[in-house]
Amino acid sequence: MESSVTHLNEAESASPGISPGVVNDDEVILRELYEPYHICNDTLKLTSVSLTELRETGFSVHRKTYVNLDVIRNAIKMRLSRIRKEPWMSAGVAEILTMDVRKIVDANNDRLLVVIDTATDTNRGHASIYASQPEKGDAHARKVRTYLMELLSKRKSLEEVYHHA
Amino acid sequence: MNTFDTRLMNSHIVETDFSGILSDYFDNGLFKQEVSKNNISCDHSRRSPTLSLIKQLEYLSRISNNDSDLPPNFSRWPTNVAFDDARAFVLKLPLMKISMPKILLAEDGEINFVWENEECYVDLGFYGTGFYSYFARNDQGKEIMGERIDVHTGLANPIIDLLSG
Repeated sequence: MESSVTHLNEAESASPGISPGVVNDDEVILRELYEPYHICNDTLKLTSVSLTELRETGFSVHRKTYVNLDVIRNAIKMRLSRIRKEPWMSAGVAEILTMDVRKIVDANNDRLLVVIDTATDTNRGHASIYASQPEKGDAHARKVRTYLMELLSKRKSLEEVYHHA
Repeated sequence: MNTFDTRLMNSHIVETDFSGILSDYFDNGLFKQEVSKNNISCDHSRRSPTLSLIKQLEYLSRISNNDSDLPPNFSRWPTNVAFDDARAFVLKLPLMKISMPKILLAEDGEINFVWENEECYVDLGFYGTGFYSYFARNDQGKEIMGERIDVHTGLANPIIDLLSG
């Protein structure tokens, strides 16, 4: 529980020393999405975001400014090659403004999501999105997921994201 | 009684309506190759909705138990208890009054039921605890949630009202 509390504090990095600092509101964050696992018939699937990610492990994203493009390319390449019997798999990236995640609130004006700097040794541009109130249970996490999904609905190719920077 | 009926009806589906079953699995994003390879078209109109859902769960359960390759990003398959819970829930669904849900598997072992149309959206799921939770929203933005509902009590009345309204 202690680590969860730490990770939910947006004003502090979860990886001090290796990170470029906390995630700012005006930063663009990226999320890889795979077809058909996350997208089917051009529709994003609800289960692209798991409740466990939102409440415990964090929904992984890349900070566009700091991620090495090769990190995303390699991640996509690795995932696409994992199940070779499905050559029709493809990948894309959702592009989100951090502020749009942070401004989602409920009827009481309580924030639903936080964006935490969770840099790693191999990806200093790694960040995570968490439900801000994980103790509220699965039903609440489903609500949070619904709101986050609305931000993930537009998918681009990686090249498109960087060419239009 | 349920076991007997289900066995009879399963046999009917396998012999006469296998194409529709595969089509449903395509929606789960796990079996596209099988569908395209066999060039199968589907006809949902002649199938009992309850049996169709039971059959989907049985197939997904078989895949979960037999396939050691997790799809990309999956941390675990749903447990057998989760499938039992989902099956018990399906047998109580009032499918004469409401439409069929789409069944999805999430990366964290959740079996997820989704209803989505122009009037409403329902996210409901099972983790094998004997309970389910849900979040729903109508086209006016009104939200309802339910936590730790016994799977054997069936679909909660507010959701039935929402889906049949």
